[in-house]
Amino acid sequence: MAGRLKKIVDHVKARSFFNNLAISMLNMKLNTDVERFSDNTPDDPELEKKLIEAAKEVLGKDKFDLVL
Amino acid sequence: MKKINMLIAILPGLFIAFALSFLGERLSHKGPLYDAFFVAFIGSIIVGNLIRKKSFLWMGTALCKDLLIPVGLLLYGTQVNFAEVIKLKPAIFVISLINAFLYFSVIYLCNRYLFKITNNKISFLSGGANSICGVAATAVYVPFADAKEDEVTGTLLAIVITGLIAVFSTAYVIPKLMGKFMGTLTNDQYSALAGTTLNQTGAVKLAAQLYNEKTVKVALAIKNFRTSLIIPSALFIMFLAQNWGGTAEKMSAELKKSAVRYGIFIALLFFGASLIFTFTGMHKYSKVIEPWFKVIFGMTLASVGLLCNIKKIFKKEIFLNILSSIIAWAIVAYVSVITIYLYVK
Repeated sequence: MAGRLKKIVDHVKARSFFNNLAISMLNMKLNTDVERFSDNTPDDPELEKKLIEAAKEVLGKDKFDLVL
Repeated sequence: MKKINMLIAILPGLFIAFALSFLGERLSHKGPLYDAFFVAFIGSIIVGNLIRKKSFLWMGTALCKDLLIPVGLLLYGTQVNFAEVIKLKPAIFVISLINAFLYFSVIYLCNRYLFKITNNKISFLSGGANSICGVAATAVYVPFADAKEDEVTGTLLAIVITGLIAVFSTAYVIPKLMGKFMGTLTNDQYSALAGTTLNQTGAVKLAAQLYNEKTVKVALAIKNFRTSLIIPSALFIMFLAQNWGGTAEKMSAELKKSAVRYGIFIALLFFGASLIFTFTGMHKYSKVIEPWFKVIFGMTLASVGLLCNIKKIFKKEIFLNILSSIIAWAIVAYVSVITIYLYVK
């Protein structure tokens, strides 16, 4: 099922007051432009794991509370 | 990320955006041809494309967008004097709304059916930006439409190029043509033409100054009315992008809710500032605040331009969208000439 990476990015955006800054922090941590993830981006379990870890750091949470 | 590392990461983008915006503001004092926002945006595209690896700009430009859009809108509110807006003739409000409808419709129809552009979001962004408040509106629309970088850049280019053609046509060509067929424009009629059809406050001011200084105040008041529609139009664009976006990416429900909350917040800032400044007599301080407004809002535009990849601009879709905007302006100008001639004396 494609689009999981975009869901994670959208979740971070929606939960951040400074959403552009949050996305930039994800970009810096993953060294990639996360905004290029679309609904059609194929799933990548390894990248997804890193993205979730980065998202938890950016959101300042221990748990990632999005059901994918 | 440690706080000190974050601060270091923010500085380059922030500093370059500030420098470009400051340059734009300083140049705007040289004459009406130098619009501060235009200089900041075009300058940032040029500078951004001289930089090969842009990752060091990410954090600073992101902070500009997040922090300075709300601050910029607050300061924009201090520039709007509703006391002048409510003095306008009722016909002006109707003509402004008709023009907004025409901008949206013509751009959408041209892009969708004439040029076969399937990403409708760029049409809605361009329609909104041209009809309401150019670059400022585009900056506000980004979170509401979850607009991507190339959609924003395409919209900004359409506004800038359409604005350039429109301002000189409005100042030099249209009055001459009207003079031949309909008689000389009164100052009120010219103010209405500039104020209801041009997409940027700077363009309205320039067109009015080029024609007759006496038309500036009323033209800007009309433009302020259009500017006050910035948040309602953003919500409208969000609705359109979600339901008729075509091939454009849709927003998740969570993101939509976040965008609406953000909209309420910035609406309170903009309208709060403008109402306070209008009705408490604080409007006398607007001129003092104006340079800060130009620099701060200019930084948000510079932060968009810095990350823009010029190679991506040279896409057929972007050029066609610019053409649609120009066609839309021409139709809006034509209809406005007739309605202004009939209803504004």
